[in-house]
Amino acid sequence: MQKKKLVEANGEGLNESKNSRCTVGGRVLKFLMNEHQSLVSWKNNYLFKYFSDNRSLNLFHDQVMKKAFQLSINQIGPPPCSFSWFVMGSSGRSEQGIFSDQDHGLVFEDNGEKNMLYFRHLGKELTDELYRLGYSYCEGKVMSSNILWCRSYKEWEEQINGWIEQGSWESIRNATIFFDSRNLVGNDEFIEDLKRQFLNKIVSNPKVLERFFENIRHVRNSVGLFGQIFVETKGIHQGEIDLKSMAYLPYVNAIRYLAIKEGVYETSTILRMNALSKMTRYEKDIPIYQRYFKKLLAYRLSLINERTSCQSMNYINVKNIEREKRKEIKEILHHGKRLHRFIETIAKGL
Amino acid sequence: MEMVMNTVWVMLGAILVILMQGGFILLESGSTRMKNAGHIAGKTIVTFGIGSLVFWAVGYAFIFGEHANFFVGLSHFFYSGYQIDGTDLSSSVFFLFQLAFATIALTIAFGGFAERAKFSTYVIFSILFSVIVYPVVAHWIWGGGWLAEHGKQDFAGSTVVHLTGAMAALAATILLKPRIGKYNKDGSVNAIYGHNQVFTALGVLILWVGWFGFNAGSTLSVADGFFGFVALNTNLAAGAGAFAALLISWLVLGKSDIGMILNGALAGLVAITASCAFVSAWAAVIIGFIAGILVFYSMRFFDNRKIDDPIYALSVHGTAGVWGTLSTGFFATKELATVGSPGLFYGGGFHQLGVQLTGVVVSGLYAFIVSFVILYVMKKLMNGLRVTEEEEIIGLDLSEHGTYGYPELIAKEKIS
Repeated sequence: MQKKKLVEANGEGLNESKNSRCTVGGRVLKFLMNEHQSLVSWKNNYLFKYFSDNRSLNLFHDQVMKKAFQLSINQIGPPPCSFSWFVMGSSGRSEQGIFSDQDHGLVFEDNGEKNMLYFRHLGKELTDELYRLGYSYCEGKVMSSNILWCRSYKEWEEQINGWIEQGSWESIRNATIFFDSRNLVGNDEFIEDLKRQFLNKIVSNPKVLERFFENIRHVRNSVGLFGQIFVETKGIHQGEIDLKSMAYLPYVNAIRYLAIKEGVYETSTILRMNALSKMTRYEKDIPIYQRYFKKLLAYRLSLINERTSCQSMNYINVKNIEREKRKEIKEILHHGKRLHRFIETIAKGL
Repeated sequence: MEMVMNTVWVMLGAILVILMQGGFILLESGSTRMKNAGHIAGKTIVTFGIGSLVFWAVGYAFIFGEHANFFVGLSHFFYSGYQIDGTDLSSSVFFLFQLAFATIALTIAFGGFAERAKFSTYVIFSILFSVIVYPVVAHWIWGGGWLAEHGKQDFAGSTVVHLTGAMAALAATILLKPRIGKYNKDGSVNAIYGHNQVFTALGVLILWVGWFGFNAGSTLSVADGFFGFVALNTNLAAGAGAFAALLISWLVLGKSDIGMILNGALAGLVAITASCAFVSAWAAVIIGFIAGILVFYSMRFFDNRKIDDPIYALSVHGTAGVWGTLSTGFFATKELATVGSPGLFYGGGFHQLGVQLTGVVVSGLYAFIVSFVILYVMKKLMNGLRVTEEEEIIGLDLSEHGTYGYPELIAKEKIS
């Protein structure tokens, strides 16, 4: 049977050789291709119906990914043991925009090399399938196809411990990424147990928290001394605001830090804020920041009509924003900064 | 006529010393990583600018003003170019020459900040160092202060410029802590290689040539062509320093270490800076040679004590500066000791050595303690002296300035 060649990133399907023989394997492949193509059509048809509401949009993304998982299983056979396919990043936090890249991993029961080989194969298959569906590859390679993110439960335990103990910038960054994980398919106890161990490790070694704070200290300057919003000065985004790094990440990172500190299991930033708001220490401040963060999420979704890719989702042109909106964005940016100052006082025990 | 000649000669000296900043740009950026190159070059220029303004406003007055108290003089603030009595050359040129020295001390100090300090740290410390640290030591030794009265010999600034700068660098390296990746958890040292040894070597050559302005220019006069003798000593010490560093690295490491050779040359230059006008040519060779050996062991000493000094400012300017200052206590000849007394090997006994030792200890301590206090207070008020880990990893060119020093491609870390 001839190899099939992928042609398009947006999942327009496979090029089937004209000379493909009608074997049983060929029929199976044809069936799978049809499955894949119908999934692509389904996703493209329905996706734009959900973008007015962050929650339903993310539920839809979950549905697409679950179907992609099923497709991959159909392709390589059923999993040989208990496992969890989990998502991280914006997907883990249920904060994906209309366009999104991939962030996912696998954890499976430890039953020797056979399992390992199966799940590595599955990891690769899942990554490629999502790519064909329009989810771009993660630049940081946080995907099931990367063995760092595709491990047995025992290996995961060791890896998370190692990350925290090592304490380097990169290892803490990895631990931070993992903390945003959410089970999508399979046994959700795996992720829960790993997170419990993660948080216990932090409780028994509070000094490690400093490393988590250090890891997110860098916040890009967003508003100047004279109240001007800093925009990109060069390149294709010239004159635009990098919403992701200037507005969105400051909130996400700060709230994640507090979640780790206070042992909050939730993954979405909004739910983390809800949980934190119930604590006496944060009941006054967090609701204020939550209000601005909700505005930011809504604003991000409102931009979708003008956006065409995952990358452009993160930028808005200042010139296209009316005065009132600009003021609101400034407030959002300003409070992102303030939130970081707030967690700094928490981190330093002031 | 002589005044005109003196003025031209010292102006040439000033130009050479200011050009040394270019040597430092190449030396420092070549000895560090590509991702920080633009930042290092840019901060050298801006701190030279700030140092110049501060020197004009208060620095010159504190050093060369009417001796007012134990620490500083207090006249000629905001010097406007008028002729000051008692000098055989244009006062404006003398001012420029001294300004060049003050800014070199500042640049040496910043060697200890490399690859991890915030740009704002450089800006603020430039001002405070140029007001509080450098002028006091310079006044004590060159401006008629108490060490000058004791006959302290420091012809062109082994103590005043190099040791003072190195002590500030030491305070900074302690407070800033080592760069990410310099030391492993078990305490072992990793080499963080500079990105361009050709830059470093070219930087050393420019400094070497600039040193003729630094040392020979410090004669402030063309009378009897004495500056030629000073230049000769300067060159011999530099050569001996490079050669000694080559030998010691060959003997100890089994390889001729290029970085070590370059630092050996600089150490020879730093060491001869105090003694270039007071010692014979053969002594200059010995002083430079010993400096080349010392710098080798000093670099290892600081490295093993987890003091991360990217440009080796502590060894090249500190250790060699101490040795150079003390060396006149041994080698100053009867004929040449126009300041202070002859050294131990020329029948002067231990007197001059004692004066030199006092000068080194007091000046070094003053520069270190005051710099440490300044930086400590800055650290508290500025929410740290250092960039965040993420910025350090990205590199200061991008994170501090948003541009590339080189059009290199840096992989974007992401968490989304």
